[in-house]
Amino acid sequence: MMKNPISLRRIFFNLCLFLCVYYIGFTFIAASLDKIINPHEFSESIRVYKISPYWGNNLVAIILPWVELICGILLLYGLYCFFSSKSNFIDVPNNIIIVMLIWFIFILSVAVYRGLDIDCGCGISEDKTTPLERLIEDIYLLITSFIIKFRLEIIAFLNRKD
Amino acid sequence: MNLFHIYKQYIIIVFISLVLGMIRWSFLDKDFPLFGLSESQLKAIKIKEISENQISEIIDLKLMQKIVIDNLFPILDARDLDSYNDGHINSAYNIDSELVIEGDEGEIERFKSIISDIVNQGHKTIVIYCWNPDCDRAEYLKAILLDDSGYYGSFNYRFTESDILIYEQGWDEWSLISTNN
Repeated sequence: MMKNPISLRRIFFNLCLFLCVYYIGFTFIAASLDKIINPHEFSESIRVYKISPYWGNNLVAIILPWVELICGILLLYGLYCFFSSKSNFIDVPNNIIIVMLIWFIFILSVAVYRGLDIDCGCGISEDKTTPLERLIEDIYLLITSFIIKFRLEIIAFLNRKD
Repeated sequence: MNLFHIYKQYIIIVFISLVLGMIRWSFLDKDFPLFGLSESQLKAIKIKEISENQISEIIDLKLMQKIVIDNLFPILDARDLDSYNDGHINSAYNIDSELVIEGDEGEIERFKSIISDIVNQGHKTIVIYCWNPDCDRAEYLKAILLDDSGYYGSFNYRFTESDILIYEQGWDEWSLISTNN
């Protein structure tokens, strides 16, 4: 008996989706933990970008890491819901992550444009990272998020091809 | 109301983050106001701005006044004790650099103790002053701090040349300004 080629494609795409979700989910969870533990340092990281009003830096440093953590966890949970019950709950954390990534990309682009020599203070790396390195990483993350966002369209496209 | 239903899940996520953030904030040990910056944060910003803009290790009166008013860096008075007792810049420690160079054990121990305290407080920059530009005591003290022989406590591992600022016009200028004010 011949195997259905559609299902093979679907399996491959599901595997890709799984990897995409885990890549973003764990990146956001790992990146948030350090900021939650040390909001002082994160507030200082926000300040050096000189893009937000200084009076709001501490508030952002307190709340944003929790949004990242919750979205990271819910993204993983959303993938489980998608595979088990075809629920689209995964879109909620993914949309928030897309908004955050677009904002990060914007401020990192400004930092690169201004030529700021600063430790980015974001992401999961322990080493000093430049805004340009983080900008590239965030662009990868954004592309991955868009794959998750348009998963149904991609699946429909794969089904239609055959 | 309709908007709330559409974005209910988003609002819940942000609300939970807000609540968890507030709980975390209530457990913070250091001063960390939600709006604005704490005194220690403001101080750190001023220190960083000075460090970024300060190319020369010689500082002028204007910067010295800022450092003293905001208590940004520890200040060392390199003159002799009698001169120090007659008048000195607020919050300055006295270390008679000539006595240290001459090998006065008591003064060396005092020097080590003062600098150790400064290092333990997490300071990375020190300001030294003497009488005026003709007085070499501030430079002596800087050389002692950077000495790598180990005899003076090996503080050269803590400070580089650019971390030690010298207020060159010294007490002569400062006392004149203080008297005029």
